[in-house]
Amino acid sequence: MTDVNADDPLVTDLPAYRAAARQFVTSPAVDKWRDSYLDDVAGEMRFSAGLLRVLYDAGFGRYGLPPAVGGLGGDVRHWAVLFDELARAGISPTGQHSLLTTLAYPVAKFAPELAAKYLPEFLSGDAWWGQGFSESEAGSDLAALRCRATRDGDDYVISGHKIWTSLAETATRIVMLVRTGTPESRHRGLSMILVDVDTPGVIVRPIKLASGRAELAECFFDDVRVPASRLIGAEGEGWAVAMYLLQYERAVWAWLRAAVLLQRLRALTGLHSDGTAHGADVNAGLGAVYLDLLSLRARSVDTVRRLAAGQTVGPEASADKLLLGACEQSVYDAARTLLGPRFLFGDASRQWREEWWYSRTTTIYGGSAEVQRGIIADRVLKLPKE
Amino acid sequence: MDAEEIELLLGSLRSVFADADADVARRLRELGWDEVAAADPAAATTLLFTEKGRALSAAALLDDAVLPLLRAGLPVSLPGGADLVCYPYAGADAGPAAGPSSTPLGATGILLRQPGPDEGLVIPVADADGVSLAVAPAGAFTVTPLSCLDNGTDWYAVSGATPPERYDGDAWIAAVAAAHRALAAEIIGTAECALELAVEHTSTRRQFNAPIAAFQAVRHRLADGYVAIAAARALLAASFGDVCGPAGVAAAAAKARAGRAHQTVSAAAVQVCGAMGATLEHPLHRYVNRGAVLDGLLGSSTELTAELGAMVRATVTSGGEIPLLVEV
Repeated sequence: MTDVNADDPLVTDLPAYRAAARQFVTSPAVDKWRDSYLDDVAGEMRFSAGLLRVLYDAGFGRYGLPPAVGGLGGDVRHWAVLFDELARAGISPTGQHSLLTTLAYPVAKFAPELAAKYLPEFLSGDAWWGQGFSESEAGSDLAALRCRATRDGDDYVISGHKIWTSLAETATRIVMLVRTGTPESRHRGLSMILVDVDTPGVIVRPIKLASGRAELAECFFDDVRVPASRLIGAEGEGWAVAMYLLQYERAVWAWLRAAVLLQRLRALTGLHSDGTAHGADVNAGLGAVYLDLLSLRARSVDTVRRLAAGQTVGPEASADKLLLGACEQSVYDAARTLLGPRFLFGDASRQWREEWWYSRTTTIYGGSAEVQRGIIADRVLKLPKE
Repeated sequence: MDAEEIELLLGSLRSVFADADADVARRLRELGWDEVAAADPAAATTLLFTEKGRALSAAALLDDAVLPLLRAGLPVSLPGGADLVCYPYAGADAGPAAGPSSTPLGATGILLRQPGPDEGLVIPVADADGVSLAVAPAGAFTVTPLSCLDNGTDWYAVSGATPPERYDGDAWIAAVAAAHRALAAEIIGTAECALELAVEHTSTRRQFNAPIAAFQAVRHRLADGYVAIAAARALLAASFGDVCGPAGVAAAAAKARAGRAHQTVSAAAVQVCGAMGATLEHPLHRYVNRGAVLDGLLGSSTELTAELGAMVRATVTSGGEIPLLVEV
């Protein structure tokens, strides 16, 4: 990348990056995305792609990743700062940002050539990727997954299906965890591979959540031929790649969600600025949500910093995940309780209702709360095994 | 402070607290604790008060954390000195929970140790301009042992008329913040011990041919206890130093979160320790009780949470930004 200035002070000076980002996200260039909400998930993804493009062109959407993959340098803290500043300016970090900050780092580490070739289009909003892990018979028990990739010459041939794939309806590619070993090989026989959705034999069917929004999708693979050069990591290394990926999901993604949730707390509080009716209940409710948010950020900041410093995030990150799930539900349960009939009825609160339903899934996806508690019980508290 | 230094200091603190009859404040002075605190106040407060909580020590160390701050507003020479803090007590007179007593002529408060008759009490008083301080010898008040959920404390109830003379109380907010952080650390210490007792009990106690910690219902409650403590520790760590936000908010949040963590852990620990854990013979009740009475000082978790909610509301209403306290 010839357009990278090696002496760019924003790479090393985080407060300077924050100040510059703040100035940009409060400028008219991004007014279009302020306080926006679209009912239709596919439409929302296309709409937010425009934001990634504007951020990319201005440079702010490129920090946090190395020049080799289309970034401008820096580390995960740059994303954390950008998400804070976007949310502060009334702009929600997007679905693309969620996936990008989770997928980019494992791909850059385990498949630098793929990352160099394909991450720039992700950064610029021209394309985005899904994360295909779960299957009908492999949800919490991820290592039971069966979607098969068989080596055939220079290709893999993929057969099987994935489900609950976030935002896959509009994704261009999917980072997939597939079985390359024997059916009994559990986590040892898995591989990670990057599959283009427009490859013959791939069918994506959106799934509407109870809210009516198609947040997720089911993906079918019928003898899909993918070059072996699309492997992320070596064959059989899929579990290690997935665990590496999870660190970013636990850290950066939690920070992103905390930024969004703060925006929602601000909106909820704004609906209670008038009068003092039920003042004590409202204060207690909003205070509890605020405390959950502060706890999440205080916990998450450590995890983000450790990742930025190149340290490994271990089983204790399950606490981050549990705090995030609790915080998501705390915000929307408070909205439901405090808004009462204003939550249940009327077009004005459609977003609250849809997000309330989505928040129910936050203790299910990405490793259910039960799985996280099990990890803490086994590996942190070292309790006797079940 | 690196891990080695922390281990060394923990060893010293544990030996100080291990001797129940020791004059803890004097032992700490001999240890050179003032220098440790000056070098790294966050680590020093966290270590000292967490260990105090773990040891169930009744020493009035909170006064030592608060008084130096309040003395800044007091004359250099006072007739009675400034020896103990009279902590606001939302008891019979129900003043604002986290603020000082709102009843200026009828001081009601809690002392964390028995005062000598000539020792001076520093009494925070709320008035139109904020908080001012009154100082008077303990002998001028009725001081009685305080009946308390926790028999291990040696606290006293104070009542009587506050003298009319007032001193500068501008330091009260900073003093309360320091006290909130110290109390949060101490509450976390009691919660840690309660969780450890529960882990130990459930790992050895067998029913249905298995240790009861092998049952998911038990494991998940203990995991939730761990997460609650982890959150409280993180918020406490974030509340020291240069946090972005109004003075005192981070410390109040840390104490509120510690109190809530203690409730979560206590409920889980008492349940999974079964009947044994509910006996006087078993040590669990000491940690359950100590954390609960510490939660009651300078605003309980419930009260502080509602105050934080009121602050968030006022901030948003006035067009301000909700303080985030933590940045990467």
